[in-house]
Amino acid sequence: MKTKTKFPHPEIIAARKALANRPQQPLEKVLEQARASEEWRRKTGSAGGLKRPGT
Amino acid sequence: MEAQDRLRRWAEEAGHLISESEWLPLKLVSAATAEHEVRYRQSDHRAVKRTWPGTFGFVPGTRDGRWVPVPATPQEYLLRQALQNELFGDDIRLEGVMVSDGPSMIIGQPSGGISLVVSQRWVEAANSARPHPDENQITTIMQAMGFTRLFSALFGWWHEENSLVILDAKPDNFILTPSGILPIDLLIAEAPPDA
Repeated sequence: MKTKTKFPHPEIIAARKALANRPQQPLEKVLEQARASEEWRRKTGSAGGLKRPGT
Repeated sequence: MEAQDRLRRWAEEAGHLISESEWLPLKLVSAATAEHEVRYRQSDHRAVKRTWPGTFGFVPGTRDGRWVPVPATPQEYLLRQALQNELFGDDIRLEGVMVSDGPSMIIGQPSGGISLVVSQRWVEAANSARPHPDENQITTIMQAMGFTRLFSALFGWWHEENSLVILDAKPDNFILTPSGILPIDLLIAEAPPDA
């Protein structure tokens, strides 16, 4: 019988706990992060094989 | 369409129908992904994600013996979110349902397609100008969790012990936080016994 792995992994739990204890970022930091993600997708042309419906 | 009708009725009866007037004031942060329009709700610091009208994102499925992203049903989409919570300690919540007035994103389907709206805590990057880990860092954390790479699938991973498949594990679906890497939006499914 296979032994199943328990999730979440301790490293993930630690990262979540640290995140929960951080103060909320100001809006401009949130928007900067969002813009950086958009820029990453634009530069890499990354859709991961996914295609938006209707396109 | 039957599942969508049921979902719409449930949202109406349970008071979980979200109006455009509630949605539009949230700060738009992304309309460029294949699955969602993403907005930010400052009052509780959450990313709020709406599937494109008439669609429910993707889940891993098999085509010709290979794992590929396939369009999800509402149930599959919600199961995927539940797996994200279970596997990665996320706190994704179903916010409700939106009904679109515009044309469906799916050719041949009538207008008035519905969207599922979910939210999750905004995950702050260590560096907001460079929020994503590189592929080596992703490999390290996925292997630490017991996943092995699925070479036949783009950005795909397999967990033998738990019969889990993950697709779309590319850098922009992870955030590099000051305390480690956190996945934010992966395509996850439990493989059937014969997969």
